[in-house]
Amino acid sequence: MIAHDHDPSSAASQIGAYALGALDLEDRLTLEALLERSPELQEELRQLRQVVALLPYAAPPATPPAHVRERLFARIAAAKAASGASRAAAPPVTAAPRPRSGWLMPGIIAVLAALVIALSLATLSLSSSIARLDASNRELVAAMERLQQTVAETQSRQEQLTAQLAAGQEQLDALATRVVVGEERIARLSADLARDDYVISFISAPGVATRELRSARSGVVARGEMYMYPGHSSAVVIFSGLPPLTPGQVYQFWFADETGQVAGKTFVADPTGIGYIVVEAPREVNAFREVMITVEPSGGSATPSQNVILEGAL
Amino acid sequence: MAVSPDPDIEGEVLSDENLIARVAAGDTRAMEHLYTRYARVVYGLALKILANAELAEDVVQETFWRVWNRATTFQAGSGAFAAWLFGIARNLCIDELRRQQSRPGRPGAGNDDLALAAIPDIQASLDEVAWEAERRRLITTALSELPADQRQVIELAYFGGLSQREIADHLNNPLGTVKTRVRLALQKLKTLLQHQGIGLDDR
Repeated sequence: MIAHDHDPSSAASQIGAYALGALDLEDRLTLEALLERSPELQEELRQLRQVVALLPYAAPPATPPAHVRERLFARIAAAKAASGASRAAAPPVTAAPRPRSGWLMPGIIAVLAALVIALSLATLSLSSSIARLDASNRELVAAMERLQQTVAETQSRQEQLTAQLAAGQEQLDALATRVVVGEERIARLSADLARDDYVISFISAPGVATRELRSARSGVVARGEMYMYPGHSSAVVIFSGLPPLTPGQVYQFWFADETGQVAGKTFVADPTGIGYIVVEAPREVNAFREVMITVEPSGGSATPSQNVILEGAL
Repeated sequence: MAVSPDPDIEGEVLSDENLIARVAAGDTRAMEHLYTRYARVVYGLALKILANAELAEDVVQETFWRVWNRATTFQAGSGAFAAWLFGIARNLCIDELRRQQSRPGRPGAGNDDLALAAIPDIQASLDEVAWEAERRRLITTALSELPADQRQVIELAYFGGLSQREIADHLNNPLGTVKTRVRLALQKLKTLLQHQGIGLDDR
């Protein structure tokens, strides 16, 4: 029987079993050697393979679960991502290896079969490595996403702190402004207090002389008191009842002697009409004969107007 | 065809060889088309051989994974894609079948597993289902016209993974008789299919 099977015509008759995958190893090797040399047999094999390729349709087709597709394409995507460059460099379809040429001894076939098995194992190992790399990549991507989220949260927190800092700075600036304003008020109050102290000490010192200033107009109840020291140019005038001024007007103090009037300082009274001024005469106060207070335009005048409010003799 | 946003594929029924050439160039969408076209048949084949849904699912995934990885080795001129694809799937099934047979303690889940199958993939198009139905009609008609003993050896060889010698042992028939039945069966199938107008080429 074996000798009969090795007859080329008998071996060719096994082409159907070969297409069906039902040949034993020895018959298969014999037929493959024959196929190498026979284009007619190759064409017959091609057609029978088409027949065999219809046999799966004899089994009722069934739709595999969706997860089969999902896992397959996830696996493909991972492999593609892992080795996209090397796959792009793969040889084109037309560059597929040529059919084996020459006679192949069974030993060589066995070696080749062993190599194929080894390559299959290597492929499985590579698939496993790719799966591990894919898992590792996924972990790295997840870690990177967590890191990016942390950075985003930190940036958000930093922006909040910056905004709070800006708001705090504005509050600090406002407080600083209020402090400056307060200091200015304190300075003014201190100056007022110093002046008040001066006036009090001036008018209460021994040797001070007083002169009364009376209203120069009927119906005006204003009056004043002038404190002075003979031989000195300074004097303090305390007054009350000064009538309110219209806008653009000021009160002006005047000294007078035989030659004429000497303009003194200008001032305004507070709403109560009560106040005081410190005046400096161009020479000792007792060298003048009279003083008076007039209403003048803002900025004062070189000569007094006729609108005299208070007057007094020295 | 399956729905595809790819203007190069959408609306065009590409041949298997065109699709596998695209797969060889790394085109995942072409791979999806091949999966849609053949996954049902591969799964049906694996279920018939292994009678276990879980193992059949593994075969489907591994078959198409190998198609993806070995697309550049597919020789367009030497045989049709379907023959290549089904050859991969059948070899995986037979390997698994033999592993199971070497481990008799492991019970097969059987076809009852089908009732527990997960949600089916709904992406198979009407075109693909119609194509399958026509092919199924042709091959079952042709098989039904074979003598029972020829149909039996085809069944044992292809779906049972038995060699001619194993079939002879299994049926307690002379090896020569089995070889003759296989040869006659294949030749008759070829003739019947050609008479039914089917071209023995890939689409």
